Amino acid sequence: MSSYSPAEIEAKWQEAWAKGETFKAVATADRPKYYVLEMFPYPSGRIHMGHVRNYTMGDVIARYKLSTGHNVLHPMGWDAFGMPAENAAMAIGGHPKEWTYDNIATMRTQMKPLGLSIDWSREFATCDPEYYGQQQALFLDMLANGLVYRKNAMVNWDPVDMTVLANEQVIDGKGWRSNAEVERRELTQWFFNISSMSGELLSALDGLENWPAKVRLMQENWIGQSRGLEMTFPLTTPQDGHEGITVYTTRPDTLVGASFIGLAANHPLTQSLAAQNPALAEFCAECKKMDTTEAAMEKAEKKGFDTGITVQNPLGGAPLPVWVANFVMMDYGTGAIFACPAHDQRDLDFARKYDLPVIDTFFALNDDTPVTDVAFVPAKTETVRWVNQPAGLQEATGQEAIDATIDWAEAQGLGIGKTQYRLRDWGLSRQRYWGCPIPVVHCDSCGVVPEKKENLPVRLPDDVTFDIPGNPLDRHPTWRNCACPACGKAARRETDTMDTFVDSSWYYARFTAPNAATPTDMAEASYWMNVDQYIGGVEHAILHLLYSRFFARAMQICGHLPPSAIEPFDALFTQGMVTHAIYKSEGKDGRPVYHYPEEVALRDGKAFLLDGGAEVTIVPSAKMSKSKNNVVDPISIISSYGADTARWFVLSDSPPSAMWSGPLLVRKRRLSI
Amino acid sequence: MEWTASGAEAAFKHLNRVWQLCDKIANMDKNQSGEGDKDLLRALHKTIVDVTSGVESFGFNAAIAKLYGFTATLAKSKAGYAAQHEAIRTLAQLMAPMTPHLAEDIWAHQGGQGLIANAPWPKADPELLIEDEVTLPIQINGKRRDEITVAKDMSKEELEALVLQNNAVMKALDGATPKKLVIVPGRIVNVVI
Repeated sequence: MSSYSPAEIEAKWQEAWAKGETFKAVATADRPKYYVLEMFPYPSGRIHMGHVRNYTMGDVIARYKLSTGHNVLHPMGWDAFGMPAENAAMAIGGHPKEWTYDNIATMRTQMKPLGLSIDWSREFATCDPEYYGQQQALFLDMLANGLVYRKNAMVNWDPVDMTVLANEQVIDGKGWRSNAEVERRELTQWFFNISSMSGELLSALDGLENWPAKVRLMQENWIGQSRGLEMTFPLTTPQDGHEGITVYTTRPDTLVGASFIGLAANHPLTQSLAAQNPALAEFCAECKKMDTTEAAMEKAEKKGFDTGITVQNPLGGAPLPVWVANFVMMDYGTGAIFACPAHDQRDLDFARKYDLPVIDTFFALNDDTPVTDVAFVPAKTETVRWVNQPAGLQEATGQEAIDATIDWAEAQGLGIGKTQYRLRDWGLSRQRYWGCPIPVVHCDSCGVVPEKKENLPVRLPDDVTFDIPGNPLDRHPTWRNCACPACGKAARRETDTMDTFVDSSWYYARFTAPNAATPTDMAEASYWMNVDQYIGGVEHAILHLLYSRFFARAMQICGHLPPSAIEPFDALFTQGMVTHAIYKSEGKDGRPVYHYPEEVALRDGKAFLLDGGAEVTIVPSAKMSKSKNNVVDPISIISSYGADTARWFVLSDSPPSAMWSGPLLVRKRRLSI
Repeated sequence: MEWTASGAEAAFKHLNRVWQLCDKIANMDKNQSGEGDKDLLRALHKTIVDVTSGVESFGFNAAIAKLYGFTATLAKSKAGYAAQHEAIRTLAQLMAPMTPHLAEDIWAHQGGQGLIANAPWPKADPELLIEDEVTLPIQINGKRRDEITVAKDMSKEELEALVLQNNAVMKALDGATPKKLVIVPGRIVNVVI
C-alpha cells in the first residue's frame, strides 16, 4: 500500500461487485424491502453534475439500506422518447433510434465508473418495443375502463412543419422552429380522464407526509379546487330552445355587481346565434385562433361581441346584456360567466372598453371611493363593507360572503353550490414519430377500434425519413395499412403517438418486473412497491408527479398494481440545480462571450483566460446551462480524481434541499369567474 | 451548489489522508498499547450516531462534516492498535455509502470479512455514548461570567469548593464571602455577591 490510486482500486471493486451480483435485487420473505429510485434520465448524450448528484444521493441511501438488512431495489433506465431525437435527425441527419441508443450507450459508459449500486439487469429504455408494447396494453386496459377517451380539441398547428406544437413551443404566436404564424386547429385527440380524479388527487396529498410541503402545495394549486355557485339567468326572450344561461362563479358574493353575461365563443348558445349572424361567426372564428394558455390569456386584448340579447337579473333591476367574450373558456365551468367589473380587473377592462356599468359591491372599511380604472380586489380573508349584499351581510370577509351567498342562493332556489377544479384532462396525442404509437385502428365500418393485445407491440417502422416536414408515420407508404381488429376489413392505424410524459408515469412500476409479459407482475409489484424514496429535480414537482399519481390509480383499477400502491412514492426528495460560476467576457461585437471553467485560471479571486491571460468576469453560481458554457464535465473530474472524490464532493456541499430557490408557487388563477 | 476545482481538490486530499491513515494503522504493531483508547472509542461511537442520523435525513453534508472531524481525531490519537484498528474499520463503514471503493479497500486491508457493501451497519454502543462530564455555566449576580467542566456525579460540596477557586469568581469576590451560592447540579452555578 503506497499511495491512494483511485483509478486502480475503483475498477477493481466495481468488478468485484459485478462478479458477486452484490446489487441484484431479489425478493425474499425473510428481509424487509427498500425501493430507492432517482428520476431516470433523458438520454441527451452526456451526463452532467446534476445527474452525478442525483444518483449519488440515491446511491448513499441504497447502500445504507443494504447494510441495514434490506433487500434493496435500485434500478436505472432511460426516458428515451421525445423531440430532441427527431430534431437531431432533422438537423444533422441520421435516425432518432440510432441517435437515442448511441446516447444511451455513451451515458451508460459515463455512469458506470461512478460505482453506483444499481441492479443493471433491470435496465430498460422507454423506446424499447418491450416497454412501449406494455404501455400500449396499459392504454387498452385504461380505454376499457373509461380512463382514456377521444374528443375534439384546439391545438397549435404549425403550417410549415406540419405538426402540432406544445404551448411552450409557440413563441410570440410563431412556431419555434419554422417561425411561421401558428394556427389554431381543431383536431380529434385522446385524453386521459385525470380530471375525474381531481378530488381524490387533492385529498390524498394530505397523506404524503414525507413529501416536501412546497411540492404538495404546488400540486394543490395546480388541481385548483374552488367552491362556487352554479345558477341560471333566464333569457328575456328564449332563443332557439335556450331558456336561460347557466353560469358558474367562484364569487357569487359579487352578484349585485353583475353588469353583463359573458359567453365562450364555442358555447352552444353562441353557436346557434352565430348561425344566423355572420359578423358573430367571424368574431368566433377569430377567438378560436387565440392562444389559450393562461399566460397568453392574461396578456391578450379583451374583445367582445354584443349579441343583442339579454337575461333577467334574479336580483331584480334592469336585464343584463349578453356578450361573447374572448376570455371566457368553454372548458372551465359552464362556458358562461356573469361579470362583476368592480371586483375583477379583466371584467373591468372589458366594461370600460365597451362602456358597460361598473357597480361597486363592497368597499374597504374606511374608504368609499368607487372603482374607476383599477378593480378593488382585496384578499378573500379581508373584512370589507357590503352594499345590498343578498345574504344580508354588512361587514364580512369575502370568504364569509361567498359561503353565505351560496347558502342563500340554495335556499332561494336560485342555484346550487358546486365544487370545481382547475385541473383539465390530459391530452396525450402527439403528431410525432419518436413516441409510443397509440394502439388503435380506424375502420370505415367499425369506427375507432382498439388493437388486439396479441398484436402488440404496434412497432414504430424504422424506414422513415425526416427530410420533409410532418409526421413520418402519416406519409409512410404501408405502415398505416392494417386489418380492422373487429371486422377484418382494410383499415388504417392511428398515426399519433403518446406524449412522452406517459412513458415516465409508470416506469417505476415496470422496474419491479421489467420482463413481465403484462405491464407488471402483481406478485413482484406487491413486494417492491411503493418506491420508499424517490429523488429528483423540483422542476418535476407538478406534471410528472401528478401524472404518476394518476397512473398508479389507473393501474390499480386495471389490476396492474395493488390498492396499497395508488400513491406510488412514499417519500420524495427534491434537489436543487447544480451550479458553477460563469466566466464571461465581452466579444468584439459587444455581445457576451462565455468561457468553460477549463479555459480559465483563478488567481486572487479573479479569473483569467488561459489563452492570452485577459481577465474575465466571474458571475457567481448560476444554474448550469449549456448555452453559458458553465457545464463542468463530471467525466473529467472522475478521470482526474476518481469517482469517490466526485461523490464525496457533490455530497459535502450545502444541504441539497436548501439550495433551490425560484418560483415556489404556481399562482392560483381563474380562467373565468 | 457550486462546483469548483478547489473543492474537488480538497475532497481528494481528504480521501488521500484517510488512505494514509489506514496504511499507518495497518503497519502498527498488533500488540501496541497506547493512551486514550476510551476517548477514541467514545468519539467513534458519537460519530456512528451522527453519521447515521445524517444519512437517514439527507443531511449528507452534516454527516461528512462529522467524518472530517473524526478523521482528525483519529489522526491525532495515541490510542493502541486495537482501538485504532476498530476506529479505521468503522470509519470505512461509515464512509462506505459515500466513497464505496475507498471503503472496500480499507476494509480489505484491515481484515474485514467479505465485502463492506454487505457488512452490517455499525451500531453505537450506548455505554460509550454516556457523557461522564458536564459543563456548567457560572453566573455572577445573574450574568454569565465563566463555565466549569466537572465529573457528572460530583457532589454539591466538592462543586462549591471548586467554584470558589474559580478565577472569575475569586476576582469578583475580591476576598469577600458570597451572599449566596446557588448550585443546580448538572445545570448551572449562580454566585450572588
